[in-house]
Amino acid sequence: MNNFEKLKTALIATGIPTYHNRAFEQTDRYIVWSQVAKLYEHGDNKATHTGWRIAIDFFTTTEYDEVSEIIEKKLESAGISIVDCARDYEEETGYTHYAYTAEDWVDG
Amino acid sequence: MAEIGTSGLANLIKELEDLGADIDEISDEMLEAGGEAMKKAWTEEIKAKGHVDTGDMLKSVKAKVNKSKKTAEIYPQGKDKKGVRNALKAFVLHYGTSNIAGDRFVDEVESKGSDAAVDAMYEIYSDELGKRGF
Repeated sequence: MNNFEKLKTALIATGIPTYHNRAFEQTDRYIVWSQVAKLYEHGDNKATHTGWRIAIDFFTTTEYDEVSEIIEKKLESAGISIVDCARDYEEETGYTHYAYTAEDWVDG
Repeated sequence: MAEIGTSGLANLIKELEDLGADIDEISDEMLEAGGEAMKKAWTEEIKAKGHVDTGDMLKSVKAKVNKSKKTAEIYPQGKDKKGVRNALKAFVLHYGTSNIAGDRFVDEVESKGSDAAVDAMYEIYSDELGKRGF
């Protein structure tokens, strides 16, 4: 069973408050992550690799926040692939939202 | 958003052309079939994820076909009754905001839809080969 330890370790290593599924406190900077879909690769009619598609959302009130690059480097070091990154600015809240989509694969 | 095209099938189309097939008609049929398969993936995933309120976004999913470029773009189009772009609603539901958790549902659309689209397009190609004794 995947307890997402390497993902959690990577995100906590950024030093930014990190939450699973829901942020209990929305500070100037925070990260929320959640599993959004199970992934499968098949061979010979059976799953050869499984993994998870993970949403990692970084919210910051700092313009041009370098923490986004730190997050990417920590994930890369942990062997977690970022497959998409979108950036959006929320007028109402003042947050810049970096929306990462990552894949965390395990064997079998 | 999801886009399919026939450029990746150029060799297959060339083979059909060499066999005397009307490739423009066949590639248009393949594009339409693939577009319908992708549209079905969009609507099924929108419903599966519960992203239906008024139904405006669900009903707005259409294939925008460019026959000269042999491509089709399939995504929620136009605006709803309140003037909000349906593609924007899909963007927000996919990526989320500080108040809404994003579920990355469009990735599922593209994953399931692209497989179905290729199957649908291949069926037409295969039928055309069959008509010519292959």
